[in-house]
Formats: sequence, C-alpha cells, structure tokens
Amino acid sequence: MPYPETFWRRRLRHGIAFLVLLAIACAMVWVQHSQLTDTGFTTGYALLIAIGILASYSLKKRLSFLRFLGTSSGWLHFHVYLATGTVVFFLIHIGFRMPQGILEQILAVLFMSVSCSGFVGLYITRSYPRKLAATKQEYLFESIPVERMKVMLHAESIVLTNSHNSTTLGDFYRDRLLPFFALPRSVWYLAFPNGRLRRTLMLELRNLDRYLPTDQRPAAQALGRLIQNKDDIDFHFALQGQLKLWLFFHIGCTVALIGVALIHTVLVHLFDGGAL
Amino acid sequence: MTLESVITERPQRWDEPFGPSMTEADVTRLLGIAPFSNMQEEAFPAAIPLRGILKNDCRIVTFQDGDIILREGDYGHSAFLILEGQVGVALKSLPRKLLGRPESKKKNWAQIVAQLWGNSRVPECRKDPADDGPLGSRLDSDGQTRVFLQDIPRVLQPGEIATMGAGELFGEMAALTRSPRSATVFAQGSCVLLEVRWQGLRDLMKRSDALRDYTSQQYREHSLNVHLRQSPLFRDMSDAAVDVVEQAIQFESYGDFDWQNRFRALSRKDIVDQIDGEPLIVSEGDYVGGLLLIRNGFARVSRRYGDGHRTITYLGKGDSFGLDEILSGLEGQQQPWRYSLRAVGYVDVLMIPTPVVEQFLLPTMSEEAKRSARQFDYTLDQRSDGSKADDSQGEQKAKRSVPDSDRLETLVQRRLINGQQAMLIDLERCTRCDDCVRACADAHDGNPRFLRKGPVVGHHMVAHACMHCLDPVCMIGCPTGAIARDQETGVVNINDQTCIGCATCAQSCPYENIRIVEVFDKKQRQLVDERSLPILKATKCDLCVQQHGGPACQHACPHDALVRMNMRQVDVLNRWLDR
Repeated sequence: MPYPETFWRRRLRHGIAFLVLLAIACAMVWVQHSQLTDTGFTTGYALLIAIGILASYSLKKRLSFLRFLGTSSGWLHFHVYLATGTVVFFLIHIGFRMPQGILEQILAVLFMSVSCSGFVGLYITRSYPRKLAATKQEYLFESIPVERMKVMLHAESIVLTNSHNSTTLGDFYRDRLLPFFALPRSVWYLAFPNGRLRRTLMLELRNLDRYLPTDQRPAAQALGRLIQNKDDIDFHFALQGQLKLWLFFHIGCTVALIGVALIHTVLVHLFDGGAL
Repeated sequence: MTLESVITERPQRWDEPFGPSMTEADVTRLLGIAPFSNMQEEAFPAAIPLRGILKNDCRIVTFQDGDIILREGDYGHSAFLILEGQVGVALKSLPRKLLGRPESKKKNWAQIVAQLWGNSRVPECRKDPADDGPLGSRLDSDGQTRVFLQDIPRVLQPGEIATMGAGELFGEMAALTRSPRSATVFAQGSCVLLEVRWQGLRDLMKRSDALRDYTSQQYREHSLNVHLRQSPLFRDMSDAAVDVVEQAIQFESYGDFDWQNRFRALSRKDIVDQIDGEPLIVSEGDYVGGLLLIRNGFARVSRRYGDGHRTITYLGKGDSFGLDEILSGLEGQQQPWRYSLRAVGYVDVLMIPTPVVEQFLLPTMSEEAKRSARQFDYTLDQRSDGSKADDSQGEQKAKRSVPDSDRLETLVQRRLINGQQAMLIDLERCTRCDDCVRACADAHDGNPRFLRKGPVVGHHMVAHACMHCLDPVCMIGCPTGAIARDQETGVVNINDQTCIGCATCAQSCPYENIRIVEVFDKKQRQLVDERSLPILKATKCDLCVQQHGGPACQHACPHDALVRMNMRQVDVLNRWLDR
C-alpha cells in the first residue's frame, strides 16, 4: 500500500486545480459576454450538464462493483468541487438577482435548497463524526432501540435490587429517571442534541446521594453511568439520524430540481424566437 | 464488600487429552515401537512422564485408502508417525478443487454487471449441497469427517508419489514452525497413524536426542537456508559463511502455540499483568548472547518506564533483534540489552551467537545495511550514545516510528498486529452511512461479510472483518480443508461447498471475524439435514476475491474513512492514522 497523502495536501492540490479551472470557465463566459453574445444558453447548458453529473454520483454509489468508474471517495471530491463551481455559474446565469417568473423562482429556490443542503451536508459529514467518535462507545443506528432497552433493563434491575431497605432511590428512579430511560427524546433534542438533561439528572442524582443509605450509593453511581450511556445512545441516534435525513432531503430536492430544470430548458427554447 | 472464593481444582495441562480414546494398553504398545522404545523414561520429569505424553498428547487415527491426511498449504498443529500401513506423498501440487480448496476465479464483466439484478433477496441463499462438486468425504468411526482423493492413478502418476512406511514421521516441521504443510499426504490402503500434537512433540524432542537431531536436521536442510536468504542481513553472505551460520544457530520457542484459546480471557487482563505474563526472551540489562531472528509469531520490544514496561515496537517474522547492541560492542561500547523482548502469544526465535555474527555477518554488511538494522535508534528520542536521533533520516524513522505508545500497546495487547488486511475505520471521518456494508453485500449475493463493529483504538475502529492474518489460527483443525490461504494472493478463503459448518474456524478466530450462518434455498426454506438440524456454513470476508479492483468496502467509502491495512507496515499504518 502506498503512503497515504495527508488531507491538507490533497485539499491544497484539489483546491488550486479547482480555482484555476473555475477561473478559466468564468473567463470564457466573460469573453463571450464582452462580445455581446447571450451567455444564458452557455451557462444554462453548463449548469444542466453539471447537475446531471452531480446527480449521477447517487447512481454511481449503487454501482459500486463497477470499479472502473473510480472510487466513491474520488467521486465525492469531484462532486463537492463541481457543486461549488455550479453555484458560481448559477449566480452568473441568474445575473446575481432573483428571477422574475414563477417557474424560474421555483427553480432558483430548488437550486438553492439543493446547494444549501449540500453544503450543510458537507459540514455535518465532516463535523458530526468527530462528535460521535468522542463518545465512550460506538452504536449501530439499527441497534439503538435494543441498546436503549438494555440500558433501561439494567437500570431497572439496579433499582430493584437496591430498594429493599429504602425507597428513596426507587422513588427518584420512578419520578425522574424512568421517563429518561423509557421515552424517546424530544424533536427539539433530535434537531439540536445537547447534554442539558444529562447534566440536570446527574446533578439531581448527586444531590440525592446524601439521602441514600451507604449501601445504595454504589447503585446510584452505577445509575449515573447508565445515564451517561443512555445520553450517548440518544446523541448517536440524533446525529446519525441527521446524517441520514439530510441526504433524503438533498436527493429529493435534486430530483425535483432536475425535473423543473428540464421544463425550464424546454420553455426557454420554445420562447426563444423559434430556436427549436 | 466481601470477596468470596470458591475452592476448585487447578486446571492442568492434560485435563483435555488429545485423543480421549487412548488407553494404557495403547501406551504400552507404543512404548515397544521406535522411536519411543529408544527413549529413556527416566529422562522425563515426573510432571511430564513419557507415558503421560503418549496418553494425553497423542491419538491413534485410522485412515482408509485415498483419505487425505494433510493437504499442501494447510496449517497444522500435529505431526504423524506411521504405525501400520503406508502413506503417499504427492510430489506435485494437486488441483485446488480436488483438495476442496476455494476457487479464486474472478467473475467476468457480465457476471459482475448481473449482480445488479441477480443477487438473491433471500439471506444466505444456497443451492442444494447435494448438487456440489466431485469432492468425496465420509465420516470415520470417530465421527471425524475425512476427505478422500478420488481416482488417484488418474491424478498422480507413479513417479509423482513418494511412499512412506511404518516408523516414519511426517508433518513435524509445519507443526513446530507454524508454517504451511509443504505437500499433500494421503493414505495408500488402510493405515494407522499416531498423531502427536505439537506440545507433546516439543517435549519428546527435549528428552530425545535422536528426535531433536532429526527434526533440527530436517529444518536445517529444508527451511533454514531459505529463511536466512529471505532476510536482508544475509543476502550478501557467501554460501560457505551461511553454512557456518546455519550450523551455529540455536532454535528457541517461547509462549503458547495455541494462544488463541486463551486470548479472549487474556485480552481482558490489565496491560501490566499481560506484559508480566508474557514469556521473556531477553531481559533489558542482561548480557547480549547473540543476534535474534524472529522465525514465526510476534514479539514485544519494551523498555522499563517507571514501575512498568513501555512497548517500543513489535517484531514479526523476518525481523531481527540485537544487532545494535552487537555493533556497539564492536565499536568498544560494550552494552547489555537495551530493551526487553517478550513473546506475544507464540514466537519462534533463531539465535546466532555473537562471535559468529561478528566473524561472518558483520564483515559482509554494508554501512547502509548496518544503519538500517539499528532500527531502534529511530524509535526513541535518544540514541544509545545519548545523542538525538537524526530527523533527516525520515524514511528510517518512519519505518519504526512510535508516535503513540498507547496505540501501540493496544495493537499488541489485542494482537491486531496479526492482521494483513485489517479493516480500519477512522471514526472521525466515518459518517456511519453504511455504504461499505452495502457494497460488501452487493459483492456477496446480498450478504455483508463483515460487521461495522469492533475494538476501538483511539478514534480508529478495527472492524469485525477477516484480517487474513499472518498467523492464521482459524485454519488449524478444519476437517475438510475448506478454509485455506491462497498462496498467490495471501487471501484466507472458505470454500462454501466443502465447509461442513463445524465452527472450528469460528471458535479459533481470536477476533470473532468468522460467523456461522444458517442457510436457505431460493424459496427461503431453511436447509436442514435428515435430523432436521440446520445446515450451517462459516462465512467471512474474502477480500472480494471474485471481484475486480480489490475490496468493495474500501472502494465504496465516500469519506476515505475505511482502509484495508497490513498492520506489519507500521510506517504506512502510522501515516494513515495521522493523516
């Protein structure tokens, strides 16, 4: 296996190549514009082709066994750089202002939705894995319900085996911890996962410590560890869920964008003074 | 809290005899046969008597005409002594299919494209095993599955078979050196063999000069020269000098040959206890007796740090240890071992005495070779003479650099250094999209052959995917030879047709990378035998051997988060981990 290249070196190489190519493309459009030629068709068709290439990445992923198509990683790099260039071309195409017609406005909104979801996706695919890796344990998305159940049963067994001479821990579990262990987190948490509830519960558990008999304190500590576990599981569920969800949105918008872009192309030709 | 204890019998070496059906009468009969009749029972210690070895480390096995006793390329842990009858040794390699080996034929493009719609929707779908190829197998009286060669005269001409008869020993080199069997051996007519597991063979060799000399001579004649010539240290040495070195070499083995059996319990131990429990090959501060060459297995190089030992690096097959100390001694700076060397699991070591190294090896070595051999200079900040290591020697430094001692400790502790194609996932880049799992499933009829789970080292996961280990313990004991290493590609593969689902490989794999699955037909009906017990198959990563362009998982990862890595390439590993 050859020595792997560092990410920074690769970014620098690809970034320079991208900027050079984008500058050349922009210069060509500018030359055409300075010759008083309508650049709408040039930039429009360039956009249509680029969108087609960008969308084909999804198809490539389904053809992973056709190795001559290149690696998925290579395609993603190309996808990101081409998409960035496409945004520049899109802005040139619409003249840096919102279009007038309804269809064109829908098209522009769809394009921006796809672009923004793409950049958001790029951000979260680069930043979320670090957050996920920082948790104590790794969880498969599909096995999260089972993991949640395991934690809850473990917590229950701890409480049941430690409630024989005092109900303090049992009462606290029933009132404060059971909803946390048994119920799914709120939509707000799934959108903006945070450790507020965990910190609150841990604080309450610590404050409870002085009311517990000495022999129940280790059980309370064990519950504390399970709160941390459950919070990690919920954190994984929220972030992994977002990582899956944004792709659905991105692809859904892309399909709509391609459809409307094709209608736009046909209409442009129909109303271009007999170009067809 | 009170600590309770339960009194129990301490496990003993022979709690589980190799052949439970061995009787005292069998042992007495064996003591009348050479080479055992020539051995002195008094030479054996009371704890390991000769009778005990014969009773507990040996078993008598019977083979019928054509039965394969051992296959070329298999890894084994036992040797065979012919008691009655004779066996044939195939002097040419037999066709893979005849030995029940997996076919590594790649799919053509039409077959690859057809995967798009042709993959089964039924998990683990198989055709009826009755439709399978010409491999013959039968159950012997002990319930063991025997594979036999069909139509031997058609496959092997008379000149292509060597015959061995009663009293002859075979298979001992592979058993003692953990190397692949060099030839296929099959029964010629009915024959009775004594199978001796390696522990017994080792003890017999210790107490029997004749047996020790015989096996040593076999090794010196057949393997040692090749082994030495493979090492860059001996490449420029004359044949005469190599002969002298060969004669001076001492063989030593450390650790537990069947380390995989205790690995899971051992890996849960504290690192301090684990290092303390590893057999010491040389100890830091001791007198340097010679140059050590690792013949098989792995060894941990460590240095005292505070009250414990810090792992500096690990050595594997072909690595040497001690040249730096010998060179320093030659330069007038006599010094003891600067590091300790310990057996990780099991290790075979060749020791060349210092005077032989000084007289025959060092004069043939170039300055460059000497510099690169003093590898440990580059692992630490300080050289042996106290000066700083030269950073300009970037390549050399990378070869044995240890940027993160904890990482190294974990790799050695979990024996992940055994992997030649370990699946590493950078969890700080992995988006958990499962594209790798889907690609793997697409390449294997809809069934992924790995789990995206596994031990985590730092922020890197070593997923449960077959690592195609350097020391493939999973291959020991497969009754049909279904699991085998491809000699050309190094890929350890399972032949689904000849796998009988006995789970020997899965239980042996210390990394839990082999899964036993129940199989179904195209109509999703479970395949069962006549007793309604499910038909089982062992499955694991085959490195997409039938596809073009390498493993699908690595190819499909959009985020450069997944790689298949040879853990012996420490330099590449470190660079990948620190991208």
